[in-house]
Amino acid sequence: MQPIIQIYVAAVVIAFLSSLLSFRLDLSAHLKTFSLLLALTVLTELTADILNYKRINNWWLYNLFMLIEFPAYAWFYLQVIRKKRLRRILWFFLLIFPIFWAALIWKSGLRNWNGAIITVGSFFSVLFALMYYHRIITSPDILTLRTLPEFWIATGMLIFYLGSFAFFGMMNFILKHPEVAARLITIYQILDILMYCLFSYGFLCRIMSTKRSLSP
Amino acid sequence: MSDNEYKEILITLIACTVLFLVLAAIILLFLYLYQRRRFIQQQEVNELQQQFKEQSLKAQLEIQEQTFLAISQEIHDNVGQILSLAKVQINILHETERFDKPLLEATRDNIGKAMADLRDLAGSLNSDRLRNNSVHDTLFREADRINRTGTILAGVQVEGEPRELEPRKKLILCRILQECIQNCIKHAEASRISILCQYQRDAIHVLIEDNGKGFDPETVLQNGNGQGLSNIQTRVRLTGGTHHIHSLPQEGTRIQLTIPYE
Repeated sequence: MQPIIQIYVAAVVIAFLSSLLSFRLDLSAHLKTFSLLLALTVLTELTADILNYKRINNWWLYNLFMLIEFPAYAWFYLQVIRKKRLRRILWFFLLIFPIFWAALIWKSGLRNWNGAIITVGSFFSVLFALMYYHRIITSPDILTLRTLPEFWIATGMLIFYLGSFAFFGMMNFILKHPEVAARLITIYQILDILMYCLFSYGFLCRIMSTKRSLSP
Repeated sequence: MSDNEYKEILITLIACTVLFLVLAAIILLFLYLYQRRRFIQQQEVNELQQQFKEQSLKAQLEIQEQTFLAISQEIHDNVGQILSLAKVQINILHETERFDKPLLEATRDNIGKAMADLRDLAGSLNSDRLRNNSVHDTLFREADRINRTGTILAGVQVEGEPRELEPRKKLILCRILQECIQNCIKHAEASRISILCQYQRDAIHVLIEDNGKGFDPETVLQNGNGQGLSNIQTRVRLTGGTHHIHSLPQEGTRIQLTIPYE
């Protein structure tokens, strides 16, 4: 395994372990759900690495993962966004995305990479993050961003999915040209690591704020 | 793929990524600055509310102090005098052998007047009185108090349909009005004070005019002698209202106050 991949897997595991605090601190249900998603991410990444090590095609695993990942994000935002019009977008995505996924997988096959799925998923993930920012701005209470797990999670998603947008869309092309892939993959791995670090911080900032409020 | 094509694609992809990341950074920066501005604004509002609270408490204490002073003066100058007179009348009755009905009636009237004055004083000690009374009630009472001194003639005119002010605002406004009237009595050497209280659609408007010697408000404030004026300014600002003081030496003083209901 390449060092950058090792760091990436470590970041995902750390994010998952940090998210377990949400159960200990009895945080909101959507944060607990997000923790479960991180557990699934860890399992997926480890399995994908094992399959890759054994030279077995692992695209089917990522394709299946995306079917859970993006609707899980939408579900997460559905718990924190209150505005009806924005909630309608989330419900629309929750209903349409699985159909869209099934149609594309049926067309291109489960064992092949389909850039359209992740491109659409990334686009909506960025949109959801922006919708959440809108909620922060329009909230009657002034929310302290520093200790707001949802903000850090949304920020992680915004940076990663916005930064990787071009990369995911051209994934098939990039993979056919290893000389391009070799240069680019590191950048996107760094963005991925950054996203999981922000997720970790999102959960850890909660425990830090709890400790601060308990201290005399 | 040629080397140039490879470079072109790589540069385009990296440029797109950088551009998107810059966009993300701008969004985050905007969010951070926006939240910070909201936080600062909220802090200012909280500070203003705190000041408002402190001022209303201060105003309450000052009103109490002034009430005590007025009561002590009233007891000394009015009730005390009447009761002394009644005592003298009783002594005369005691020493006179014949039954003097007119003197007895005069004594009874004096004692009754003293009792009525004491009842009125007891009422003014009640802290709910200011809360329950309207602004113009307070003005009428102040005018009554001034008129009883006999040195200044005070008149109050009310226009419009009376409306209630928020209790703390009312307290502060009453204190401002008392301060204005007190300044007039103390410094203006006026013989007449006229007060106009207008209940307008969104605000209460009070105009206090006297025919005294007047003063230059700016000079007073610059010399640091205008503690009363500065109090008025601060308090009016806290109620969200406006004020205007027009005064010239030998031309009397005119103070306009506008305090919004909400």
